[in-house]
Amino acid sequence: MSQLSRISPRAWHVWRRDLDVFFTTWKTNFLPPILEPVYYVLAFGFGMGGMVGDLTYQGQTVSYLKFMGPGVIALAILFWAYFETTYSSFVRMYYQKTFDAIIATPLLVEDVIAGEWFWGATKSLMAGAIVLVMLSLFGLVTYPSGLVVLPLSVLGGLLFSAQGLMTTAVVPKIDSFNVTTFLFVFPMFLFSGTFFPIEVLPRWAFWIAEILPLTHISNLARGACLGIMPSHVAVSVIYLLVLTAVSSYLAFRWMTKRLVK
Amino acid sequence: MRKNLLVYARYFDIPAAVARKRADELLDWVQLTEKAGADLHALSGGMKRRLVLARALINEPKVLVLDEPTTGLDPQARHLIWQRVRQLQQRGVTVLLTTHYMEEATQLCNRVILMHGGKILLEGAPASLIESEVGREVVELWNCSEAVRSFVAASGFRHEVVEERIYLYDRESGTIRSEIERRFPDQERLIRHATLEDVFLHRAGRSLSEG
Repeated sequence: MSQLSRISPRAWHVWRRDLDVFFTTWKTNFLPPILEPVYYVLAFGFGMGGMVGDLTYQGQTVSYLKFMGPGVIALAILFWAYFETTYSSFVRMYYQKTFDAIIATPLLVEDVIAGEWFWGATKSLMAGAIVLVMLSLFGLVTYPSGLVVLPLSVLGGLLFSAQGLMTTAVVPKIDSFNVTTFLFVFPMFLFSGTFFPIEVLPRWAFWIAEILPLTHISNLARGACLGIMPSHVAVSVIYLLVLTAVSSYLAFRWMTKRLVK
Repeated sequence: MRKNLLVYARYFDIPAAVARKRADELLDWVQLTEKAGADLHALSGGMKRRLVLARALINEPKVLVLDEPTTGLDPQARHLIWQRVRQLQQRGVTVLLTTHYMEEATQLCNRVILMHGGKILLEGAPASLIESEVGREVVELWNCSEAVRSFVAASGFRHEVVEERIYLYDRESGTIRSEIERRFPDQERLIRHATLEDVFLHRAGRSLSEG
């Protein structure tokens, strides 16, 4: 953990750089989180929802649309952090040599990693907030409990941002991200209780789904948006915190190894 | 482009107002003020190189390391960079630069280290290296007759034969030149000052060495 103590306030300069670059093209950048929930709501909520009917969540009957909405928040948290610290960070590290240029200044490697890590989490927070607003427009969010989505986006963002950096630290080429994306991210996207309750899965698959961090994020997001206390909240939160700690520790170790030859 | 300098200035914790002032001065100094708002991808190689030079100076360093600063640049951009490097030297900035261009080394360096195959060949001031290693003047001959070849071989002049070309190295200016002109007035020739390139090629060998 000694590495984390080397992070200085200068790490925010790295974060600010990414933020500045992001906002130079903000119009196109904000389009996906605004449109994505609309498409999901139309396709799955209205399209599939009509065929599925209502579901029971924590003993209460909810429409499929209301059930599925928070799943889109979970996806936004996952995608915005993970794809930022994989593809985008890799481009900065490998093609643009941005990190090399920054390390030539008083900043340490740890500052660069921390800046990227926080930036990935910031993107999750932005995406989580925007999707929350969009779902609210469809009347799919209960307040004030819905606001829990914001800290949840930060926690999930820190987790997936760290896991993205772990991936970036070990892949030889940018194409290699396809492997982790299709082995881990895609199954997680589909089988984490985002579009259907994991209870309907066969026993073995249910337990695999319980291991996936996204399952706990979509469970917590769903509870927040519906205003219903989800099951085993404490277990989910502690599990996510522990995973985040382990992932960030590994992200710092592996990224340092990659950047300092 | 200005933004690029400002973001870089932040890494040094330079206050924003100071950074803005310095960025404008530096852009002006490398003659990029007109392009201050341009997108980086729209810049030519020479502009990018000037921007990088400006960026390297944003924190007012005492030592500047330049790795082949003018490789691939057009003559104007090259001379601008040379001019700026000289100004930095006058201000007391130590500049350490690497280059493949011997002319650049002669123009800019107080002290050069010639390296070949990872080993140091020579070290010293460019002018004294040229003087001591090669001399003052070089006479290059080509399309030489057998008579010229045997004259050179027997003359005792310091020389090198590279395929069709003969290089004669003269310690004083004019001795060899006038001897050749007198004996072989029709000989095709080039008479020029000795350069650091001669020193390097003489020491490292004129043949190509790969790797």
